[in-house]
Amino acid sequence: MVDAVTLTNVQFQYPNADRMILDGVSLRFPQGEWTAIIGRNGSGKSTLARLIDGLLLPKQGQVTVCNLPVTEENMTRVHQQVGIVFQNPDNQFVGATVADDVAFGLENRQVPLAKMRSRIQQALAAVDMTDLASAEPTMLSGGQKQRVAIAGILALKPQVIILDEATSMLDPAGRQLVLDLLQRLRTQQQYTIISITHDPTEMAIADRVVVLDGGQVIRQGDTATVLADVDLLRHVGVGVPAGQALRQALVDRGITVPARYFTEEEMVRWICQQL
Amino acid sequence: MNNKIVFGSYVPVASPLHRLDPRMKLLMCIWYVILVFFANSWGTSLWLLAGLLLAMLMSHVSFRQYWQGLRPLAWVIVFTVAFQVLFSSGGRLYWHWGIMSITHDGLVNALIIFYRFMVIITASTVLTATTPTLRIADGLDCFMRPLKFLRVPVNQITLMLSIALRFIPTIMDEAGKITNAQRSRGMNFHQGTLVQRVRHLVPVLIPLFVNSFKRAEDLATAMEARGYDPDSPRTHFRQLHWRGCDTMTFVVMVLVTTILFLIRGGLL
Repeated sequence: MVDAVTLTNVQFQYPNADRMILDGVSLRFPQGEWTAIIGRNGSGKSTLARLIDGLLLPKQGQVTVCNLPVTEENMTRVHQQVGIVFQNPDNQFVGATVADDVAFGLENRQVPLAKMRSRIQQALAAVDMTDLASAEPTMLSGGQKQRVAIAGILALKPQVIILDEATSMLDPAGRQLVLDLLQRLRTQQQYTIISITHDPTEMAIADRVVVLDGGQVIRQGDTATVLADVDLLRHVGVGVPAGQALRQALVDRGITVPARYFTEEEMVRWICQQL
Repeated sequence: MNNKIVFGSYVPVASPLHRLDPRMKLLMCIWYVILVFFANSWGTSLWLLAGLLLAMLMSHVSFRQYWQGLRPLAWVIVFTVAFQVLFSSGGRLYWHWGIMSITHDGLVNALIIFYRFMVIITASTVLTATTPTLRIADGLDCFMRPLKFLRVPVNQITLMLSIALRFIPTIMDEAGKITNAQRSRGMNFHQGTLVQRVRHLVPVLIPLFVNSFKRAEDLATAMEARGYDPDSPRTHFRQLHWRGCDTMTFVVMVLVTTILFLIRGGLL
């Protein structure tokens, strides 16, 4: 499979910091897959996202996006391939209205007005916000603002979408809506999605999980394999998915449960079989 | 519906004035303010007032709402007028106490100032009540475009202006939250001398500033990620459309001006 994003032995240190925030990270993000990146606060997750989009440049090592090395010269093309949804819905809303905000990226890319209209319409339709096209940001909920942010990215037709804790400031309903939307988008079109998250549901949706700790990749693999390791999840301080938490609770009480990953439904099914 | 308007806020109703191009309205407002200073008699003043009343009627915003918009400024007007009445001299003396006196010229001056104050503030309220702030910014952008030749970064300035406008409600909201947070810790903002009250604002302003800087940084990162480069040209999604009714308004404006100068010249 082709890799949408690769990192080779990447090192990064913030100015005036005494330690490396990322130290020798090598990763591959296959095209069309959803990868979740988990880890403690300060483990370098957000830095990784910024390195992929070229918002920061590594001290050492190389980052490529769609076979394009992320360097100063390629910056415009890299920004075209990668879209990031950031954590705070308010701090990434540039436009005065929903349509204006979606237009912002297109204006930067000098898309002519005639094309802009149809692309904005398509993008808003994809995130189900057509009715609110002329709404102002104060009238929108956090979840709606994040959907607008996603529309702003879709309008630019990128290859890679990065979610930098994009659902962490939303209420559960808003979060579910955003995640459903992304799952739908991924099946419709071949986006490569990288989601940085602490949320168990968001991890469970991913195809692959990468665990960062102390600026290094300490584990990566299929979602089922990584999330089955409850001790690891506890060690890096992230939430344990419900099915997995239940399995662990049963094991702690001395019940023999197969040592594999269980989603919530699988767990329910397994318990029903045992009864 | 809450109809109360603060000075300078937009009133979303449908009217012929709302539909006009913001450039036309901006031009009209500025031109009107200039004209007010050419009014030198009852005739000319009443003529301009009539023009303003027509605009107010056409805006479909009620006089009561305009009055509510003016009211916060009433004290400034009263104070200035009183100052003029009591401290200007010249002409017949009616009353006199210490350095204060009421004279004929003082009364005339006060009347002129009162008139100018009222019509200028009302005219700008007509503009802001019928035009969303963002459209005004668009209009300004258009008027400033020639400055590009003087290397003034017009695009950056107008983007800055529209982002500032967009963040006002967000930051007001945040100020409210911080005030409540401080009140929940026992801060009383309505007690004490003036100095104490001002000092009480410090614990609100500091977090507000810190957060605003953080916001600005986040926003800058998000803008960069979406391909914003201050030095490259950009296309514009929001466009202004000059229509027939705008040209008509322009003609009316020329007529009002001509008639004003005819009255002033004693020809009418």
